[in-house]
Amino acid sequence: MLTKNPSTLLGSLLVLFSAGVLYLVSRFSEAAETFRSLSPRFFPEYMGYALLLFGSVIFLQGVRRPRAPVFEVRPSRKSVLQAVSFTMLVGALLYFLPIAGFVVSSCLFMILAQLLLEEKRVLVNLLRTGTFVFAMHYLFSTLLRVPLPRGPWGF
Amino acid sequence: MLLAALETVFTLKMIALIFGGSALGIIVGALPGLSATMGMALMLPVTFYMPPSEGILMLLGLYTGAVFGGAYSAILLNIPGAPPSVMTSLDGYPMSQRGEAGRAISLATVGSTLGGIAGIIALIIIAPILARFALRFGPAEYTVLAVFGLSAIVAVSGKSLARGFAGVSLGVLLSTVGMDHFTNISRFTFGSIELMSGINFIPVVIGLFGLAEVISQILETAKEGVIYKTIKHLFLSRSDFLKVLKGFLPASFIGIVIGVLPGAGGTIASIISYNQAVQSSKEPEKFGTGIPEGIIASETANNASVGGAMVPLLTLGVPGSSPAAILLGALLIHNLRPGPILFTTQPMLINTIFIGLMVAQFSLLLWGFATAKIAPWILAVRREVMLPAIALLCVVGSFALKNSFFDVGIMLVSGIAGFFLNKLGVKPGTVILGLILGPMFENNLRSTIEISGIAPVFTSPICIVLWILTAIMILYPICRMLRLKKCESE
Repeated sequence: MLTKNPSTLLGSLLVLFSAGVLYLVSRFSEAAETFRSLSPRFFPEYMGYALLLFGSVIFLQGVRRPRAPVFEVRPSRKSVLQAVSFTMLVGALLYFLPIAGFVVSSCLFMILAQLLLEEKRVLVNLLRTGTFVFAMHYLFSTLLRVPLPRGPWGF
Repeated sequence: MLLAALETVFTLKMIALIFGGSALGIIVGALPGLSATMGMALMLPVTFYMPPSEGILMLLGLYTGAVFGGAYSAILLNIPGAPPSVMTSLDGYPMSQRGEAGRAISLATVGSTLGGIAGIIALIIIAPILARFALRFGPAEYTVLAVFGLSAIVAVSGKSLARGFAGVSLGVLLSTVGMDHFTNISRFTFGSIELMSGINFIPVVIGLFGLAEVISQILETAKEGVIYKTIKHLFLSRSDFLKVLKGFLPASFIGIVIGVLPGAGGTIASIISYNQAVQSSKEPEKFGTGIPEGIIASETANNASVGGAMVPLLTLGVPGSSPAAILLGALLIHNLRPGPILFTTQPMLINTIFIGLMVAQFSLLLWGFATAKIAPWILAVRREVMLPAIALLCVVGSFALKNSFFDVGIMLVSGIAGFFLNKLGVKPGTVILGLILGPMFENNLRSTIEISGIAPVFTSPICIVLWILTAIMILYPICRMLRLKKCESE
């Protein structure tokens, strides 16, 4: 479906999203309603309706005139798996940063990410990782004095 | 004040920052998949720890360099390194195929420098005048200005107006997350303390332009062009230089005007300039075969748009392009609100920006010729190292802003959402500019209604002019679409 009609997909997603927004807006506190001429729910509500309107328009456009597919050339299964795995790797980096510290997490991330993107030369991988992580650490921690997360080992 | 600004800029540290930023920008712009916005978004957290003038000038150097740097891969690989160089490849690549890559790069370098200088001269002349005029702007005028800015973004956001409006609405909606300024009511915070201060737009920018692009690059098969590694004859002949002088004025004018429009930027400027050059040429059939006029039109306009984009940013606080939106972020980080007040309270900074931008153009001239020979090696950077490096920079950059893992989470979510939105036709620039202009729109509208009701929004003379411009911005692409359809059916 992704490669067939992105307009109907996008339209449906926007309509569902706007329904969620309008529901949440309906649950905003009403404490300020009588004191101000323009309620705090005014803008979120109207943006919700705007998304509902434009989502519907896009959906109808998709039904009437299907657009070109999302990908001109359908990505291979391998590249889809690579992209998903890479994204999960970034998520894992976020998770392990406060636990293992910047140096260890970043080194593991760089090594695994390069392996994932088919860097087969292990020594080159390690050298690049070491250089880049050191450079980043020096730039942010020493030059810019950003307190990068430290692991239980002190770095 | 001007002398003081000159003394500030012409120090070793400042010159090094401008030149360094420009060199980094050229590398970012040259590498396909990276863009000026992405480079600036990644460097923005770095500038947080610098004095405002240093940080801003470094970013300006990066902006200028990145807009130009896209010409390298456009000419050598037939892949525009940055979106503003999309038209450069039409004539640049055929020229390099004939063994004239050096000539093409020289044309791009000189054209970009002259266009950039023209843009800055326009900025220096127009900005103070517009800033004085903008002192008459009240909440009603800023409300309509925000509407104009949002509609301008939509008008240039591509073929689908509905997608443009959807992107802008999404951005404005995201800007409402947090505590309402007027009533302290929580909106969309889900009980989270971090969300009570709202969504910081910088991690969103880094995610939308950085991580989303990384994911996109992993999915799409990388185009591999033949890199012409021999760069010879870097200096322009007399006839080529005369062609540059002939072509740079109309291209600069187009670049400046388009750059001023909120959300337009160098890409639109280079396309319109190229089309204008084709239409005004006595030999339009030669465009696309590798002629100097094509490169001059594209590169001059896209660099002139840099100065143009700074005009609404500095005078009204409305970014003229996505990279200008990053600059807005840099100013806000340092508690500097762009607008007419900035011209009266920070004249030194304004003059420093003007002079720094001019220095950045000359740095282009230097780096353009100095790095031309090594450009093929820059372009040979493999994606196995580039993509993880960019992703790590996205993570660290998002963290460095407020030492917050929550911001990194926002970046990750924005990256994933941005990838899907981009693929489904919603441009990330529309979301970002909605996120930036949303608070201007809401806060000023609510202030107007509180003070004097809704009437001034429709009756003030400045508002009326802005409404007319807004209507033109929205109706023009619709009329153009209908005209195209009519031509196609005939």
